[in-house]
Amino acid sequence: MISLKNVSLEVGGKSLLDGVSFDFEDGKVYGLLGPNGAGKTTLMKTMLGLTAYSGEVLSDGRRAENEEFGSLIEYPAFYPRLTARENLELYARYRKIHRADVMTALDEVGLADSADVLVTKMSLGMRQRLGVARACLGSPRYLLLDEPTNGLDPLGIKEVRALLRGSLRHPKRCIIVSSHNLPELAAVSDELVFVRNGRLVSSTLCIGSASALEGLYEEIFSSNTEGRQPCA
Amino acid sequence: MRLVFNEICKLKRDNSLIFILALTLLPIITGAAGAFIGERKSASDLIFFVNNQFAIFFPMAVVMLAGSKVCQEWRDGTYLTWVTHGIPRTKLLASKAIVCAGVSAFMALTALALLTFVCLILSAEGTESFPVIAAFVPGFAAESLSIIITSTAMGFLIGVLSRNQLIVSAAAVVYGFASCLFIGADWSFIIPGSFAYRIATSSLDPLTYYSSPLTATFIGVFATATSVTVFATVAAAIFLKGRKIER
Repeated sequence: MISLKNVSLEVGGKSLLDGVSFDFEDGKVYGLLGPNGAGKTTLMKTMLGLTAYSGEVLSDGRRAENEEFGSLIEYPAFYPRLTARENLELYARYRKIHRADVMTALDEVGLADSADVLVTKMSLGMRQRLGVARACLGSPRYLLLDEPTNGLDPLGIKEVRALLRGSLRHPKRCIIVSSHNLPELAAVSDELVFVRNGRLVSSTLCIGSASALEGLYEEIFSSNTEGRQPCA
Repeated sequence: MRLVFNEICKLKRDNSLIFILALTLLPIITGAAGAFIGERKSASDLIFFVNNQFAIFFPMAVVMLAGSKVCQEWRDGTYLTWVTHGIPRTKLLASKAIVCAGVSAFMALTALALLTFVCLILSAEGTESFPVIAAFVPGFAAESLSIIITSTAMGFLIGVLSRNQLIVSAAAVVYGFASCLFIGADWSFIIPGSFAYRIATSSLDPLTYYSSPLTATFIGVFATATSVTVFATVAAAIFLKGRKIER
């Protein structure tokens, strides 16, 4: 379980995260929702230690370590003059992932045929898939996926959705996905967490239909609601 | 070793290395061209000319290489991934430094090999160049080592400060010329690049060294060591501190 304890971040006099406290439990997929600039990416960066935050980010009660996370933050960035396979092999060496099954990871995101294609020659959608493959390599304890379906075609979205519903799920793994795509998040998440102005304003345990979720989204971001919502 | 190997892998298909190598070899190419059209008849003349130019272009190339290797992570957008592998940042930076120093040393060796080759061709035309080259090698080695260490540290400093490839390239050009601006001055030992140059030339002709050799050597070594320490420490401090929100 990853726990945020009173996590705050202030940059240039502006509060980007404001006393965030939340427990992300193992075995669940969390959907992080919020308008642009709400703090979703900043929250993920904070979990990775990429911000000068105050408060605590704990993994099972002790300080969370970077190597526990697999992540795809902001955009899928790779060394452009290396191939998809070389990029994943490089990552595996950094992470000391022995006998990393790079080809299986590529196959899972539909890139097995493009293993030897230079990243610079890949479309955004292909890079996004490669980013998901990299994040999942080595079976990390926590998976942070920031807009993982960004730039993907419908088939790619379906594949990522299938991964999040299927093989990526593990009783000991916690997955946090941020997206603006409400139906997409509703389809893969066990719990939705709403972020507004650097604060977690609400979480809902049960996800209803996409239209119900849109209604809930509107309700939350047009009111001052805070706290955990009951099942709809 | 794993980190160093990764940094070597990142150089794969990197065409900028060809440009940087060409920059290092430029003095020998222009020097050889001059020699063959009869401007410089002896190996000694050629080596003096080449070393003069090398003292400008080699620091330029090394700063460009080191700075670009650091900036690569921001340019490619891989910085966030690179620093979240759970590996201490000092080790990440050190692995880049080792690879940059290794590549720079290879470039210096290539330059020396090419220079030797050109001198041997000149020998065939009647001048005895082998003893001259043999005398020059220790000085050239000391000069190259000094330039590699100082310029790598400087390249890293500019790289972490600017995070921008263009700024690194512009600063490298300025650094190359600035390090040789006072090359002939009797106090130039306080400038690492100039001091390194004078060490190399003195191996050919001891009269080209400073008027107070002992003091100059002592202060020169101290100034070089201090420069490297300051550049490397500030670069590491900036890199370790990071930003309030990393991008």
